[in-house]
Amino acid sequence: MSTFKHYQTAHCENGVTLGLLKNIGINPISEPLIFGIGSGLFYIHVPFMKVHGAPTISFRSFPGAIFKRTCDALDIKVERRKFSSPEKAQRFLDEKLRENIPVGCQVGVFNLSYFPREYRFHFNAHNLIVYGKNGGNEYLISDPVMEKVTTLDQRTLEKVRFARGF
Amino acid sequence: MKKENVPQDESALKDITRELVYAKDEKGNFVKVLSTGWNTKKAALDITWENIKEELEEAKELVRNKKKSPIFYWMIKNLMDKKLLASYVGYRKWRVSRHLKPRVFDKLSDSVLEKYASTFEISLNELKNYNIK
Repeated sequence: MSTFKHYQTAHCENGVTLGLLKNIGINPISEPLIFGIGSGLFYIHVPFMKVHGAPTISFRSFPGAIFKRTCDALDIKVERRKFSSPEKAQRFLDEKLRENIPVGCQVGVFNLSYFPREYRFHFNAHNLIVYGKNGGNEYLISDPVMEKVTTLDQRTLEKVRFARGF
Repeated sequence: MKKENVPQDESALKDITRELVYAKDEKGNFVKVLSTGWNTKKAALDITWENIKEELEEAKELVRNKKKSPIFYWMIKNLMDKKLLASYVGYRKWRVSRHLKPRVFDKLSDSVLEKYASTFEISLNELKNYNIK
């Protein structure tokens, strides 16, 4: 059984970084520290990239940047994979979980079944950690913005990992 | 903000989760506080959903009046635009635009319709015969 410990944070990428680092024994580290050394604060206004008629505004740097900068600063090697095949993505994930290695994933929130319906838009820069598998079909999820750990079935996890759009 | 002033309003998070925020304790140190929601945030979200509902009503009207095909209704219902729908079904945007025309829709093969149905997570029958009320 996995010994993964869930940590809740205000921001998802800080949280995935925190969760993955803490679970390999990096201490002391906190969300504000990660946000700082990861240079998380940022501002961009993209008037031509519209979501529901409203221009895109972000207060955070681009997806993956906080994670990368934090790990660079701590001299920790990050292995990042992108998949075009859902089958290969799942096979790789299953393999890592069998080795008891938690995996951070960038996902879309539209099909994220444990989120409140009102929060589910086509937004694909959310991050979560998959830390185990229950039986054949259910993945154990540590979503850092959630109070508690959740689960996603295989099909839903595939949908959120392979969400379309930007 | 002091931790006792962190908004604890009722929101869509109810019975699902609380969100974590940072606020100051008595000594002025930042601490983590869990919040059930914030009315300002809720108001912004409510406006967005009001707009979506209106858009959906308009879409129903257009489909009923044969100005648009049922794909249009399901596209709006799934909060998609043509570009996003095109990337899900794997067609170019102009082809999706054509499929939104009732006359073109009526002639589409089941294999094309199946792509839309599975994207919208409905059955082929629902896509073809759904009675939009």
